[in-house]
Amino acid sequence: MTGIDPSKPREGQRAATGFRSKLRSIVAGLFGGDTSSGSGFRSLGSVLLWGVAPLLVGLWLAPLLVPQPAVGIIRLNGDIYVESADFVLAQIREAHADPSIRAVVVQIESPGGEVAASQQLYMELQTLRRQMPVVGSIDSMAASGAFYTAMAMDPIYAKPSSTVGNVGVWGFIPADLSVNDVILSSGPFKLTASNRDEFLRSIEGIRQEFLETVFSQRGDRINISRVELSQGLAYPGREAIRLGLIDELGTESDAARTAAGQAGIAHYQVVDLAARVATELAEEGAGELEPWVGAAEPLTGRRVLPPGAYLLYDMQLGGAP
Amino acid sequence: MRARTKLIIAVVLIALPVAGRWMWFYRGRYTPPTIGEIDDSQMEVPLPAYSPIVEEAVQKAGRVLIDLGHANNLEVDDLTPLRDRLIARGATMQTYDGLIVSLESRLRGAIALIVAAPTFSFTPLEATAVVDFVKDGGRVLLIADPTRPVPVAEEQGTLDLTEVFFPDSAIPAVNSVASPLGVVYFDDYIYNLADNEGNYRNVRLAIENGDHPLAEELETVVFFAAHSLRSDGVTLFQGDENTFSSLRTGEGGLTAAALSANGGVLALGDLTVLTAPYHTVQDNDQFLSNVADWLMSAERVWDLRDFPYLFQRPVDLVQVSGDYLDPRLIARTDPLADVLSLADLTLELRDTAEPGHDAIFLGTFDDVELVQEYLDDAGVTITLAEEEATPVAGVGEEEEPRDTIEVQGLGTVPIAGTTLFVVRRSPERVAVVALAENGDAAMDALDQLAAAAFSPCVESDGVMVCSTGEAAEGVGLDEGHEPPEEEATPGPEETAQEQPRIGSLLESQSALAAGVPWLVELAEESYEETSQAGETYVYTVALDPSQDALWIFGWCATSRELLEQNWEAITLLFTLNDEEVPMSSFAMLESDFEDQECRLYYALVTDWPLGDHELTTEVTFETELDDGQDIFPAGTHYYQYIVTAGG
Repeated sequence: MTGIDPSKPREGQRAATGFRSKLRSIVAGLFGGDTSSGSGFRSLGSVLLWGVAPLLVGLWLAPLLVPQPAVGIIRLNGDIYVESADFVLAQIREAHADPSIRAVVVQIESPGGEVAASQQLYMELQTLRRQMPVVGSIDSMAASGAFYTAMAMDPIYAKPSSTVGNVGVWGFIPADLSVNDVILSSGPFKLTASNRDEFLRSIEGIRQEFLETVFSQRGDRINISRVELSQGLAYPGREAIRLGLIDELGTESDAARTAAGQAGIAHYQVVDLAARVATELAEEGAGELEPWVGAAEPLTGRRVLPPGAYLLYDMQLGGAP
Repeated sequence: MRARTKLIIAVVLIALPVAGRWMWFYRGRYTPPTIGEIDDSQMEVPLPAYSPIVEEAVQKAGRVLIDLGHANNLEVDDLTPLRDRLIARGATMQTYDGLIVSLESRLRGAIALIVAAPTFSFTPLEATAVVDFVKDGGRVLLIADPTRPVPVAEEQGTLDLTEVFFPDSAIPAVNSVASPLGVVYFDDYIYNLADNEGNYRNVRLAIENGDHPLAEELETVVFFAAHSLRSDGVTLFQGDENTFSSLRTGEGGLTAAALSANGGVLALGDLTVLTAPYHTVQDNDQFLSNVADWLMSAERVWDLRDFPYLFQRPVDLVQVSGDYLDPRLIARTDPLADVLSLADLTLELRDTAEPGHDAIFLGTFDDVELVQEYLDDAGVTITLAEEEATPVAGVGEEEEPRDTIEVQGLGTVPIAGTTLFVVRRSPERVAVVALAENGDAAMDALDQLAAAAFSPCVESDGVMVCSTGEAAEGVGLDEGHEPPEEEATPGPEETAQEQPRIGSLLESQSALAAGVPWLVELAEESYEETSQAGETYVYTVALDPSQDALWIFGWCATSRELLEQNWEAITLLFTLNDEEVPMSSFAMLESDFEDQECRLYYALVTDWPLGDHELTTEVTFETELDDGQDIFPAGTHYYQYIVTAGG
């Protein structure tokens, strides 16, 4: 009888046996064990150690290293003044600080407000824009200072009947205090900082700054002359698109999708930065925003404005007397 | 080697989920945009071009009246530049405050009127006075300004911005006088966004009708927020093709300054152009001088109704009739001198007029020799009955001769019941001749002259014939009819009771201004409600016979419109001891009082004869009245003043 020596396979079986052997050695290499039946438990451990564990580690690390990207929603609601602007600035800082925020949508519902506060928001948003897309979404109104702020956003969405524009500035003339012997001062305008004509020139300068900001940011899209825009008219959203003041009709979701597209992200989450900042402020014990001293009383519509210039479309005063 | 392979595989397995997650979430990379910078070249706010002028004013003379009687929205210094230019030209500046003295009265002496930013409407009487003033050669500068609406009252340091931004327009107020003068202001403002003087509302205006003296040496005038307006005359300043109205979209060729058709009214849509420092921008300062020259070049024609301003020199009062100087004339010298002092004139009572003086000649028709030359010059012929008794041709019977006055252009009137005024001007003097039927009538004529109350009168070329209201029957239209017998022979019971004297309008005005007490103030009674139909309110007054008192009826309402409506339904009847006192004896005053608009009719009552006198004011409301506070039913009520003089 022809005996078969297991250690010496027949020639026909050589190739197959060689392949299995190689496979065993690879598996053994992978898991560190040999291929003998006595080492089977150790091989499984190797598989877990070198195969499953790294995979689990990878799965565990992935969310930490690659957080789900988010589109932050910054909310600019109400009159723009120092305190309300601070609230928006806190949202901008949050967007800067949170690595998951890869784009922001600024939701606007504002008639405008103080010049300097509006300009501060504009400049901060432009800075943010160097880091991530900043897209605007106008609800019912982005007038005057709010429209100025919106110039730091691209593109800008609005509803068909949103109120958009109202380019310009206004303000109360300073007191005209002539030279006297009751109050002595070091300069003619030290007491008043201005006079009627200087103030008017200041107003005119701010108007030109506003106008040029619009033209510089909207570029070739603008389809209205400086003279026409200087009228200070507010336009419905659809008309504002025709004039090139904004870009699209759409919702906040549309704006978020566009922002995400600009940022190159998908499957993003939407984070309400205003709510987050408000919660943080509440935890810190910060009080609620005090109404602006110049804001109209809801019932009477009366206001007492502080001195200054305003990029303001006033809802209380914008309607019929 | 094997261990390294294992490690690589482990790392790959670790990285696999991370990479997968990355690829799941991130599809690209954000590329920051290039943020555009603003174009500095587009930003320039030029300083205004100030061009004050140095001028040599031509000296003239004349009074310029500034209206302050219509709640004019003016600051203290608003009209200072214009006023200074006028004073430099010899103008005497006066103001009209709407109190006591009427606008018509104040205009008598003026050559020009400035109405700037009125916020209270002119009454029809005032508007008529201004129209007549322009017809007489006076010049009117009308100024409205969109920044000068009806002022907003400030409440304890706070300002209601709704009222600030939406004030009541002053356009109805200015149009109340502008419209009768041929000018209409629009309740808008003009603006220019393309080419302006630093702001859209600072509009550069082109000069139209450059040949007009008002446009001399002007190229560009800047108005600082201006109404547009239209006139029936010529346009002076007009906006360019980029100047628009805030009210009428698309309308071009907007006018901001114009003259009326007769050239006597200059209407400006902006006040700021005349104020400092804006009157020195561009050619505004030259325009300011042109306006001053134009106002001072008025060629005003004064007539008797403008008494005492028709005089230019010291005035002599000369009695032309009788052998003795009438003491009543002496008594009237001081009041008349007061009236003349309004025109900065003096009065002397003389027996003949001094050379170089103006004169008032007062007398009766009986002796007119001293003034015959003036009568002849005026075409007046006085015929006294004893001089001539002419049979009426064709009738065949001799008519009772009459004393008559024949005036060229007017015809013949009987002397009885007639007062004659003649004004003649010569290089030597302005002479006013006043002749009446008798001494009493002559004194009344002097009062009439002093009050410039020439109604009912007719006028022709410097001759004014007035009725005293006591004309004889059977004259004129009644000629040929027999007078009723009962009127011809009044019975003894009809003998007129001796009456207190009702002062002239001038005296009444002076008395009101001097604070003479009202009858109601002197009465023992007072009533809380005094205007109820069917009621008689009795006031008992005891006074000294020499005591002056004012007999007054007034009515107030919460607005000018209501007041006018109320008065259309109010009828007044004044009686003194059962004799009617005509309304023409009562002066009228309209003024606001404690947030109400009021109209008073008042007369001075003086020289009370001893005894009791009954003065009654019968007030009839033709319809139910609403004065804005209460409703008053229709009907008649009475105010009965029982006055006991001397005890």
